[in-house]
Amino acid sequence: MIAAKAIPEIIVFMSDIIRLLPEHVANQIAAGEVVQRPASVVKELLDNSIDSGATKVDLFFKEAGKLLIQVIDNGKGMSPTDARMCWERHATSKIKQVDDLFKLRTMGFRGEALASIAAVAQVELKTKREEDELGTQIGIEASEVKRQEYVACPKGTSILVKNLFYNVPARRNFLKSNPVETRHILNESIRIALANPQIHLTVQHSDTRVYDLPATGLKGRIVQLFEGRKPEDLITFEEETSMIKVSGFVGTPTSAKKTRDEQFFFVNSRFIKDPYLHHAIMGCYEQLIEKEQFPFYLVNIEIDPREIDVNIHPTKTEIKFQDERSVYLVLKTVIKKALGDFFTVPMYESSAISSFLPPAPLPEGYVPKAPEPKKQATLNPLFVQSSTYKRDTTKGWEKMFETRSAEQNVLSAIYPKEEKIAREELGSAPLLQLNAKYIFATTINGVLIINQQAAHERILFEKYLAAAEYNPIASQQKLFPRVIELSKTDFELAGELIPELRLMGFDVTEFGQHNLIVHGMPADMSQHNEEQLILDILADYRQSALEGDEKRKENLALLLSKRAGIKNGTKLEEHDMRQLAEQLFYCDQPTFTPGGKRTYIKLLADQIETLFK
Amino acid sequence: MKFVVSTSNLLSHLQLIDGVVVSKPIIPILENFLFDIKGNKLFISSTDLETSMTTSIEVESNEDIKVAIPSRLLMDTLKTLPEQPLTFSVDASTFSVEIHTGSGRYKLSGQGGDDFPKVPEVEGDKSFAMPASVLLKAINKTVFATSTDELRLNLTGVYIQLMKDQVTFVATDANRLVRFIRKDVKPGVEEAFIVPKKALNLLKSSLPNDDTTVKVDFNKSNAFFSFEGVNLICRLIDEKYPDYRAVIPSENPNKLTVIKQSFQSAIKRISIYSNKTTHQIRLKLAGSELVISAEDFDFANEAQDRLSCHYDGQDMEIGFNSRYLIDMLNAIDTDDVCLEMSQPNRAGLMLPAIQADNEDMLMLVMPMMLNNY
Repeated sequence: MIAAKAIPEIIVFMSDIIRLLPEHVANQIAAGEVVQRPASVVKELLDNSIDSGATKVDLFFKEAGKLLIQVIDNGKGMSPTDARMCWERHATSKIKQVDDLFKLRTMGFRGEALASIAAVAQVELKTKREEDELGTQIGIEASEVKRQEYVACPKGTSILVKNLFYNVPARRNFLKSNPVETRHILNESIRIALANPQIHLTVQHSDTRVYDLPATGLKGRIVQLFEGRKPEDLITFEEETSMIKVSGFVGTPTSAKKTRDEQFFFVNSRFIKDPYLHHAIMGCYEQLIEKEQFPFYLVNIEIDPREIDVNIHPTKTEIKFQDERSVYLVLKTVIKKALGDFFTVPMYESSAISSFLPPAPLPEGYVPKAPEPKKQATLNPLFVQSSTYKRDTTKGWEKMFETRSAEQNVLSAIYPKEEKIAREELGSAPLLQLNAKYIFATTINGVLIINQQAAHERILFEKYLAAAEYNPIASQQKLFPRVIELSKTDFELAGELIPELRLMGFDVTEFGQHNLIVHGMPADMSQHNEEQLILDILADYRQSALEGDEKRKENLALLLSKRAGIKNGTKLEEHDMRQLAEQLFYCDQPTFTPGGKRTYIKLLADQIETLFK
Repeated sequence: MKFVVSTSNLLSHLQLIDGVVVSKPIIPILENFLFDIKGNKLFISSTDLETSMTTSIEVESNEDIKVAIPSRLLMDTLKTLPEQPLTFSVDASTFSVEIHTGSGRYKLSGQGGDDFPKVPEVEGDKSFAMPASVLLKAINKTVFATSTDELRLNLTGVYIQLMKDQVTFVATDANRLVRFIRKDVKPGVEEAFIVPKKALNLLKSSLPNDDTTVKVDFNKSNAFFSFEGVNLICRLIDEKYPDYRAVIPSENPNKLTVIKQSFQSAIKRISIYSNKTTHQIRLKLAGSELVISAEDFDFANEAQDRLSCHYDGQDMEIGFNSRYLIDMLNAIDTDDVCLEMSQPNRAGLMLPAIQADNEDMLMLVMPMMLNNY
């Protein structure tokens, strides 16, 4: 008792400066984090409505939400006491103890949102539970409860937020123009709409009905939300592993847009931003779309809440995965497969014919197969024993070896049985060449028409890329080393490229001030004219815009594949055609050239039959 | 106009010169044989404008005529006819040709022989002679190593270098090289020219493998090979031949001697497992053991095999294109073969263990390197 008495005296005497903040000040500070703009209010309120089990949610706002935001739901509502409690800080129905934090399935959990909103706005709450006769109405301004009374209202909760930031002028002045803030609100509602297609959501801005989205499936919701997205532009995917379940849609490469705002990740229905996972998806589209284009994607990840931490950012748009790398790999594999399945059978598309052709049915007994993990020497257990000289390589090599095996482990976890991808299986009928340009090959159920130049480009591209990364091409040494004279700029350029050129089998060294000596050529190109080839590469390389180390290899592989490939107009023997076709379908991405051109089309027997009707 | 000739006699002569005829030539008449009858002699020629061949047969004829007869049709007919005398009758105005056999009549539409390109006459400044068997051997040993690269015309033929007392044949495609010297042929002149691959291949199939003398006349632009009534005239490749002597290494301290037969079959076997485009195999030499290995990373195939050998030199590992090695081993006649090397990035020399009389055979192959060591 004595000690307790003594303390206040000390405080007085020492004139201490640390004080516990009054409740409303604390709330205002917290609001600074949680409520940044009207869109944050919208998000918090909509999240609450969804957590309440509502099936219909209406959102109204005026003046970009600066004047008024109202969310009405038909959820389970609150008792009079809860209606009062919910405005207190750290008051929540969603968790009870620390452990619950790791089992979160609800959107909110911190119990900060309403308290924060109430601190910086005038709020009116009406709520009624199913079993209650009367609902409760509460009015709060700047954290102060102004009134609480019974009111007649429908089941559910309605929250009206007026004059946001009326008591924080600095904050109010920092808000952006109305169109910008409106955009933010709509973006929030789009995300929530996408995460909850089962909920009927309406959005009204002043007098305009912006969205009216009846409950539907995810695909329907996407089509509802985005004008111009057609169901056939969407490729669905779904995969479940012991760790996570991913599902959703990706857009076809042709439907990619210049803007990136149609890209969504949801983890347990929570919208998140994740540059790392974004990279995984963009990687799958590489070579399929142009550089400044962004494909549509919507990825739902369902994962045990214990595997993630959502509590790292107040607005919860960032989360942390415990095993981020595996998520990355699963995602990448699944989407690659989805795109691969979609493109393995590029259909004969001619508007004239497709207009009267029925959609081609899947061949009987068609089962989509898992993509085959990229065949790599580095994955081969024999590899280490067989080529001891590889051991002498730099550390980079060893590192690569490790990461590749890691990838392999994850892949084999998803697809325990290494199956061959649904590649085209060539029939035994002889292959034909048309105009020294197109190769006709039969399969079990149709005809493939292969563009020989495009196909060879794709084959070589993958080969040279592999060469630059892990499988150098042997260099056939020349009897008569060729000296190539270069301009000064070309010489410098060549200097930069030498390491990659060597990996691809060009044994070149700098010589003097502006000469290159070619001692050896890639073994498969040893009959090419080395001087012309190297000058061409340098010329092409100079023209192509370059960025980063990775791009350099790709560029070089691209150039070489174009230069060294079989050209249209070359007559091929049947044996060569077959080899070309087989190699093509051994590629990771056989349907397009690295430049995005079709390598082949397929005409199914059914389609041919229809043509004769 | 009529003449009589026996099936087998005509066919055997046509077969000598048939190889010149190309299918679908630029000038359609080149698909024909030219039949030129002068007195009692029938001269038959074929040409592709670069190379021409002529042969002659004694026939009984009543008048001279020149007519071009479709080669494929004629050859196919002759091949199916049994041995018998054939009577050819040619209409001098329409140039239609009728062949009368004992039981049948075959009518072919010919063309006037004057439209047929003129076959160059033999007009050599210089000449030398050598036995057919020697020329045949020289061609067999070298022509496989010529290049097919149209951009490097000089390498698409065999370089024949004449000295006072020996003749040297050289062929290379810039990856490998063969030099075959024959010391018993004494041209007596010092000259050098490049003979196109096609002409040599034609000679290869028409030269008798005996001591028949082949007379070679040549000038700046053409070479003429004549033997047993057959003439072959070819345009020479008018290009500079690279200095092959400079690339033959003189210091090759690592010498391998191995039984040719087992070496070759081991390479053939191992190369099945090599990369499909590079055909690379590896020779690893240590002590008196040769390990041949290959791997194909694309399919994760690999193989290796051991051979015992005589090896004198430092332990080393060197990569080669297996196809080159197999071709070269085919050109070796001895039981044992020597491979002389210096460095993994320097040429390897392949030699027969014992040089035949009056011969000096040397083959050189550039290694294939992986860029990661």
